[in-house]
Amino acid sequence: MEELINTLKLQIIDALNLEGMTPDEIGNDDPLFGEGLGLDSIDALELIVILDKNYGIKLASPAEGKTVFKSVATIADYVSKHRTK
Amino acid sequence: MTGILSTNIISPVGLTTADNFAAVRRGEHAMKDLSGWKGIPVRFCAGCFSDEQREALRVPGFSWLESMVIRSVQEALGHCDVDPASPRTLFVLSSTLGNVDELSPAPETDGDFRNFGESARKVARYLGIVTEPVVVCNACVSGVTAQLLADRLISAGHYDHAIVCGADTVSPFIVAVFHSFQSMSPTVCRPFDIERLGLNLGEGASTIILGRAAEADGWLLVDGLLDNDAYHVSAPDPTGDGVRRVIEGILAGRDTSDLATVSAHGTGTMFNDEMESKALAAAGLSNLPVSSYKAFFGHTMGACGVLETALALHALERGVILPAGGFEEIGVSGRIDISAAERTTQKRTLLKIVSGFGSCNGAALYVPKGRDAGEKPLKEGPAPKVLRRIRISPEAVILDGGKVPVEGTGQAMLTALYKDRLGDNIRFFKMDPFSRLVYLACGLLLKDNGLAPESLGILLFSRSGSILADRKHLGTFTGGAAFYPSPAVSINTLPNVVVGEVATRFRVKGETTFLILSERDGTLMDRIITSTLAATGPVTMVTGWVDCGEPDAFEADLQLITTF
Repeated sequence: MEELINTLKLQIIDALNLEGMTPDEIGNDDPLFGEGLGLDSIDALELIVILDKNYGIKLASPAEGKTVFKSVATIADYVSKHRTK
Repeated sequence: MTGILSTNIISPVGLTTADNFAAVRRGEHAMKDLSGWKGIPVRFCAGCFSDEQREALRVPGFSWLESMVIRSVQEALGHCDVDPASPRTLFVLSSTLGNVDELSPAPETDGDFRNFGESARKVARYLGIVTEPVVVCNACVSGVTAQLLADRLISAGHYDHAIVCGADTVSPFIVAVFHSFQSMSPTVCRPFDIERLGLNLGEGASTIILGRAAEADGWLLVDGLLDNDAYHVSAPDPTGDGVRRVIEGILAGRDTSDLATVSAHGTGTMFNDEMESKALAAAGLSNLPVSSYKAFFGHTMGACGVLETALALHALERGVILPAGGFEEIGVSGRIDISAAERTTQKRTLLKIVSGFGSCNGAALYVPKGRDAGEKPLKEGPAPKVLRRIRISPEAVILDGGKVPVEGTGQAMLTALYKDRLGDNIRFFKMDPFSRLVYLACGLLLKDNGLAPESLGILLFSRSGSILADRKHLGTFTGGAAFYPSPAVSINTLPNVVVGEVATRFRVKGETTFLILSERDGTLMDRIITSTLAATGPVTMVTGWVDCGEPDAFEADLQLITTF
């Protein structure tokens, strides 16, 4: 799981261009939206692309992503259970 | 105030305004199921020309977009006595994406691609137009912006006539943009309906030729307003406040008893239609018939503000309010008067409203000559005062005449400048080089201004626009890459989106406009700036030149000016 969490952090940093940020700076349980990393609705769509592209997971809508995208830990948990690649 | 001398619409269902009107009344629409089109693994519908239609309309030596523009303008010119070759005839092209279907991820494989400015100039010269064209690139608000720009330049006495043409194409590029935002409907769109699933893209061109009011015997463009809701670059203010303000601004002090209908933007997305319904209700227009044409033509982007105006006026001339295509059961919370059936009316005044990415909104009012709703005088105030100025080149930043100490050159310098001077918006890092430049230059002028948001505006000119983001976006789904277009990249393929980002972050709620010229032309820019100031009344505005054709070849030269 730690490896998956680290990979996800790198994928998020890369896709969202979080220039100069390292995986260590994102806490596993830090909120990604609002307070915390401060992501917004466009980023939510970007996270959907990350899951689809890398793990074969198709989320129907940002609304469905709301619970999944709480933190990197919740994404990792969801990915480990639903990944198809 | 100007008069409408002629119109044209070129769409998959007709090649003149009259043809399109007749086709819509027969129940025809342009929409086709394009699932799997050109290998794109997405279910979607779009209002597309067939290959045979494209071939028949193609003008040798010109792109598909340019061909549509040429056909549309030529047809419109055939119905009026306007000399395109007069030095007092202006050409305004309204387009969100221009020739992107000819673009490639790298400059060396571009082939015949022409950027906006070159394209508009080539088309203008072919049509015999001798003046420098202006391209309006204000996302979905472009068509109304273009008409207002032309109206102001004529009213200010710089031109006698303006040929305003809106056009956009359906290409894998734009499909990828809207797919990344998950905003496309797999079926024909259903604006304002409870079961709406999103929008359909559409392609076409539409022309409105404007002249002095005295010349026209039909419709007058009597007023128009643009604003920014400063909410979010890809989502409208859910309260509809930005649209409400432009509607109320236009109708204030006018007799509205002749108001026949509002041609809504009505895209069929959850957010747009809900927001528009609230704006119309809040403006007291719950009993005004609403029409939406997106289910007939799709969302033709840069064309829609022109096309939908031309069609609505043609219908009203015949006492007809066209139905809201795709609509069956009300699915918005603002109370509006919408119908799936055609209606008749004795009234003739038209209100057109539009909203778009970059958080901008627009409205325009059209009245038949003789039912004059009263002209608002030009609000000519004192000459503008320059409050601040910034110049950014890859080597230096000059703010208010003083060199700003900053590390590095090029993009590294921009990042250092951002961290030193602004540094509180994580979205900066997600921007392409052009957007970073614009965000920084505008941000440094607007920071801590303490002015009322409604009194602030932005009017920018550029040559290269969003070309860097366009190429990057293409790279996310072409050249063997699987089809995973990135929303964070694709959002910046609309060059006015960064203007919306500035507006949101620095609270700018007045008019925001992005224009493209084939080259920096101080005289033309001055004409546009002064005619805008005359039309909008007291305003404090960021205006000037911004360009970034290569990541490390950029230029910003902006001023903060005021007429207060």
